[in-house]
Amino acid sequence: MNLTMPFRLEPVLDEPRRGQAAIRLAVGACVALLVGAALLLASGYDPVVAYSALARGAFGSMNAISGTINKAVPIGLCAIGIAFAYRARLWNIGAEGQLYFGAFGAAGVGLFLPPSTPPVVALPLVLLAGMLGGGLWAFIAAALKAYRGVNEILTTLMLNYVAILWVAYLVTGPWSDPLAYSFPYSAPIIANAQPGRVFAGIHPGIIVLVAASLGLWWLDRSSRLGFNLRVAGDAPRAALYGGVNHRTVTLVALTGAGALAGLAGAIEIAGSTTRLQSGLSPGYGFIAILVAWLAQGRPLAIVFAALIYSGLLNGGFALQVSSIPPATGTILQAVLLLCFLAAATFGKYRIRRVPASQGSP
Amino acid sequence: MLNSRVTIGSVLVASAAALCVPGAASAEDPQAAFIYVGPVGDAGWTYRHDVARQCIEAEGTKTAFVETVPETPDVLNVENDFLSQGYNMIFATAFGYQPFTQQVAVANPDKYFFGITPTIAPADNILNFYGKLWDGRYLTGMVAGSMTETNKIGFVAAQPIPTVIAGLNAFTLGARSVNPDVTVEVVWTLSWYDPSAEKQAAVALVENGADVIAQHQDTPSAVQGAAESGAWAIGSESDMTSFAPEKVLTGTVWDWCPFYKSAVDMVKNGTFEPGEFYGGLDDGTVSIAPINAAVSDEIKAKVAETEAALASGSFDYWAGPIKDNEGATVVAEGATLGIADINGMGWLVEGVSGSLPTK
Repeated sequence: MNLTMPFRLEPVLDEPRRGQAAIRLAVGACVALLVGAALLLASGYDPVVAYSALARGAFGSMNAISGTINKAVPIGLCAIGIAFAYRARLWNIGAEGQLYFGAFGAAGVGLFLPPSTPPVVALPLVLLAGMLGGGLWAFIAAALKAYRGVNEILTTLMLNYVAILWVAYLVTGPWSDPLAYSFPYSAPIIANAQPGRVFAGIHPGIIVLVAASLGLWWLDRSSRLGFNLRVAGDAPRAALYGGVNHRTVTLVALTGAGALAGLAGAIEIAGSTTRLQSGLSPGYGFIAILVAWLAQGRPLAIVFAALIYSGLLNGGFALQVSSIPPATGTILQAVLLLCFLAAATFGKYRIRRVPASQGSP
Repeated sequence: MLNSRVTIGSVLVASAAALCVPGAASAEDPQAAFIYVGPVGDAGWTYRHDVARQCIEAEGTKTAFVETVPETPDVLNVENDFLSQGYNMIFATAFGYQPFTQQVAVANPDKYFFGITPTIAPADNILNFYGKLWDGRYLTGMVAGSMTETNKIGFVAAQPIPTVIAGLNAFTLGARSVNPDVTVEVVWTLSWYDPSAEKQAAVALVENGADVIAQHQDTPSAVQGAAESGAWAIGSESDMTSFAPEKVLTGTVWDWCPFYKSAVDMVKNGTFEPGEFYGGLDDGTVSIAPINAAVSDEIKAKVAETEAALASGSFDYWAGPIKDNEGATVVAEGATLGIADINGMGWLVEGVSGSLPTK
């Protein structure tokens, strides 16, 4: 009996045109909204109320927009780091931990600088310390990969937990704020290292995110490093033959990814929380993996994907404000993501009916 | 690819603009919004706040809630969204929301905000609240101390913060007031909501010889762990009797309904005052769950008598001399402790076996 499916996914060989991709994703979004509406109706909620709440929480007011933009910054920066490492086919699952270790570095500088340090010195120092912290944390996994061949997926994943617990130790122990009644907070970093909100509640982190995105775009376009990363990732032997040192590439790719995640941690502290705290990131480093994939690693698409995803997260809270249970929000997010991914996949593959006699084994 | 992202983004923005329906409420018409740190189904801290929310809703105040909000800048988004929907009273029911609530409160001086004490981020329109939970703990300690046969009581505690420490100390003082041989062994889970760790901690304490397990956690998991191991249990936050009817001796219970009602009245009548509010046994914010039939009438009478004395203020167990569990005198003869001292409490009283973690 022949159990093979009469359909087959075939790669599309010609490069799809941009207009087609847009239509495909729009169709994907519509399908997602329809499936979501059906689910909402089935569980007894009005889809119009739900979608208007989702949209209101994401982009419906200046407060919502600034909240969405501020949340997109750490997600987007981590995602750009993940995409950067993936240029060399390296999986960075450790953005969350690198974010925390970057935040540790940033707080280490921001808490102990003399309060009179001028803002033009203090803020860059804090951000730099964040990048150093995140980069250093990723460097551990990078060095193990480069010199001992240890799988970076495992090491970056495990190091997440170490970094999170290290921060928890600091904020309940040596760095705990004596004025916070033993709650897991450090004291605020010096005021001169806090940029505040530049425009209508938006902190300047978005500028850093856009700059990082343009940086990756430039790297892909016209830099030797970008080329080396891709060659070493796709064809290690060819890279070796061409004089590209795969160790250097591994170290640069992962450490760079860590530095970007660490920068995200520093921005969270300087721009949002003003202090190191437990629960600083509600999983931004993990969400970033999804965002990097959704955007298929494209630098500018990551910025948009981060904004949309962060809008979905904030919209999820607004659903609850409109008395729709939070699980519904999570289901809607998942349906949207699945449909986007399906739409993207159909851009690369097409379904072909295969006559039974020719079915692949 | 890129164009399509822009398209989707603009579609969302457009639909947001089209569908956004702003609500409206006047200051005389209170609408109360609640932000919870855990799920309403936790059967403890968050559950009790949600019961009280329903209590003011039943009296005609429009309410809404968002559950499982982390103590992060997400609080800003949630509070701003509530305000955009016409809610003018925000109850942010976790200590860690304070710095974010302060930002929103300062930007919205005509709205009213309520957080959990002790205050670290004040504003002219914030009234923080909590209750003298420790008084209830003293009473449950008396019950536990009278029921233990091994003279070892276990205590599953969340975080080593002053309110938890004060409750543990009061519990120990209560237990030793009826049974001076008692030691209270404490395990810190370092989490408010971790049902499996809470249960494990209770089981481990029983295996170590404790025959009564008390707790300061947001869920009844320690109660279940104790009951399954054959030990007595003392609940916390809500009446946890239903989780092990045979084994639950009593427990402290929060009732926020009186405070929430008074908060709504304050806004209605224009009598709101910023600052701090501490409820207690006297106004019903703190009470103890019905005492198990296995406890003798003599003890029940003694507990009732002490409860009345604490509520009226004629009895004060914080009166010195009190020693910590390393032998140092922490409250001198003739002295006592006020709210400020309790909010800074960083020592364990004599009779507690264990230490404060991470210091």
